[in-house]
Amino acid sequence: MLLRPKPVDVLYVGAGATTSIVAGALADAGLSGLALERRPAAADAADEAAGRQYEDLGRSTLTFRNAPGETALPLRKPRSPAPDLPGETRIWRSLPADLRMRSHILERYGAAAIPADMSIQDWPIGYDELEPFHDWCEQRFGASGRAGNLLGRLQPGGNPFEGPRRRDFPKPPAPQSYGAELFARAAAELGRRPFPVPAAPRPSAATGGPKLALKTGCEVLKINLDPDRRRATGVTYVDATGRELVQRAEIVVLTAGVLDNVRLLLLSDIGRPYDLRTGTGVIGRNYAVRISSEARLFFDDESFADELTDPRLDGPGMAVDDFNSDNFNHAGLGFVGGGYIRLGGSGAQPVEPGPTPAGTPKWGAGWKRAAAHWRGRSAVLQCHGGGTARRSNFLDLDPTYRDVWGRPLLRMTFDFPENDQRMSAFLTDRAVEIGRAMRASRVQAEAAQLPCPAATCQAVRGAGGAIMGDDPRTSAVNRYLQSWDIPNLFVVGASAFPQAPAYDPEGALGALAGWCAAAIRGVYLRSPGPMASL
Amino acid sequence: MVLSGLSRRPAVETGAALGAAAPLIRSLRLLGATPAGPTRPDPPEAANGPSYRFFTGPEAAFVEAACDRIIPEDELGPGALAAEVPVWIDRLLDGPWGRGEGWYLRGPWAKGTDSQGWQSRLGPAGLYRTVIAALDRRVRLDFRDRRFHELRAADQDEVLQQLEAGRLDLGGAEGKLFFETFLENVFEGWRLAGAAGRPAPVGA
Repeated sequence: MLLRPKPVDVLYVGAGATTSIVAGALADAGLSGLALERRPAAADAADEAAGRQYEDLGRSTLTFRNAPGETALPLRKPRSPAPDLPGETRIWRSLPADLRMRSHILERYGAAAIPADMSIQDWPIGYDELEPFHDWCEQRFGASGRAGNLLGRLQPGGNPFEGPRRRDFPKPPAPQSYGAELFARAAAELGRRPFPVPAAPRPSAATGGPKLALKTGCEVLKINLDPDRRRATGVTYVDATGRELVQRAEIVVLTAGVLDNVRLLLLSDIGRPYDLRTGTGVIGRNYAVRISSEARLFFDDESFADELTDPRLDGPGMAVDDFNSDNFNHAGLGFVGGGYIRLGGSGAQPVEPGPTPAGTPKWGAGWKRAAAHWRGRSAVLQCHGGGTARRSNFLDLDPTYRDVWGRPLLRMTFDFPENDQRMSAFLTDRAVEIGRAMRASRVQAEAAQLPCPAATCQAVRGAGGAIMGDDPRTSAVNRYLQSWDIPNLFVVGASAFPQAPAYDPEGALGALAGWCAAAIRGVYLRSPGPMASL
Repeated sequence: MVLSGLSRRPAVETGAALGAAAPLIRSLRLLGATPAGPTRPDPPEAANGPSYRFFTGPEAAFVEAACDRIIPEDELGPGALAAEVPVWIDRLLDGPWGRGEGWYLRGPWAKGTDSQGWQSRLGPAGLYRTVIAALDRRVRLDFRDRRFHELRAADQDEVLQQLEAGRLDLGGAEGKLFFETFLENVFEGWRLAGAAGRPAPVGA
């Protein structure tokens, strides 16, 4: 028997940090909300510890292939139950040039700089429009860092490439570890401009309150539309006891993460699915993943033992942005885009042993000796490169594999574009230079694993698939994250990014969520309907 | 008792240098976490060693010997055995993860590229059982009816290296996948025991 509870003003799919921002703003405007979250409630510490809180791939996995010619196969193995997640997250503002990546590259380097299969686009909003929301996020989350550009005036010790900000971070940077200080000194010697990585306590998931009901253990099966297929009427979902319910709502907001946002649109037949063969369609288009590499440093003399014993110093660290975005001249290099280089804490990673030099056995007495020797004498420079979009990387529905409810799984077709591989090699070389300037006895470059393994895409969730834009032929949502097809549907998340900036997405996500919520309050609620003209 | 605290660092004294690794299971009980639902009492500890729930006697003999080669005891300090990693793996396989809860184990089945990861129709518990049995047969054939734990250390290392490289004929059993998984499990157990010498992260 199908249950039909009372309608709500706003229905949120997912109950994460993004949901929290949007729901908070709309609750302040007097709207009642219901958030449906897939994960079960934490029954007690033992359940959480035993991994029962973790993902259930029977419900939520995807299929994966590197190229269109291959058969996609399911990701079958869940990630190890994570230990205590790092308490901090890195929180970056968007770079002005990143927000208009295509136009900027065309202006500076000409059309030849963008390969035919690269489908990067401009965001339909500019840094000036997003700045107040970046500021709001930093204040709300208690971000720590040092301003690099205050109202157009560069500040020593901050990131000189950041867009102008109206005020400094609410908190100063945490004390740096010895390794991070060494890194900063060496980078400065080379003429780079190191700065403390901006960070904030990990934002918490949405919690229920007077205006927001929260139900866990719920799977949203699809978004329901009216008979004309012009409006969302709500969603159908299965609750924790296995009952199927039809929940009506005036507004539906997808905050289920990149992959589930896109999958729900496809399962609900909303928007035109991307078709690789014709190059038309938008749902699933422009899926991009950041590319990471490392420079591992081994010191015969230095000791970083203090990092291992003082957890306060295991923080976000220092970074250089000199090779990110278009912060440097790309003439003659053969790629566009870039990334940042960082030395910081890694948080707990229980499965990986500490770094050992190339040629060290992976196990046994030889490994044990090497691991003990290099513990406290090694450091890792992480290189995080942006991900460009290309036509043959996309998301769609799998033709073969289904979930426990019989719905097709999402299929991911992805490998790192050649552009990104070249950029990543360049970035790694720059990190190696810094490592040498740190007087490491040995510097070892570790390139991104190629072809991209499915496990990488499981860990680093990527961006795009329901991108924002000014043209419904090449975007799924408009500048307010409103669906071009369904005016009372908003798709909020990194799914909206036209390509993947090098920065971790939390900062941009928070700002976009605030921007979207403000637009819903200020524009949509006064006049429900399409908010951007075609 | 479900091995609660699998993903928590045990509440052992800090400064858990290689020489001071506390037994995993005892430490985990200190966390005081209790599972939801009916509890199974711990079987009495055997006089000579730990009690296994998942591994049979011969399987446990293999796992202990293999753990001892992966992370041996040496002049630097204890290894995986002293850190009770075999028992930790036993509980892992006896629990939800081992049973395949949370895994996607539906067909159709295909071999897959290296990028595509685990494509065995066996869950982890099945993989351990199948490969350990096949490996036992292989070793008996190659080493005149002796079992893995009876071999000299150098021969054990050789067998493990061949297994790792996928060069052992196990009659179709997925030795390479098993070794990869086993290695991950050993290191995970080792790190969670605090034996790697890293302090616990400040509460997340």
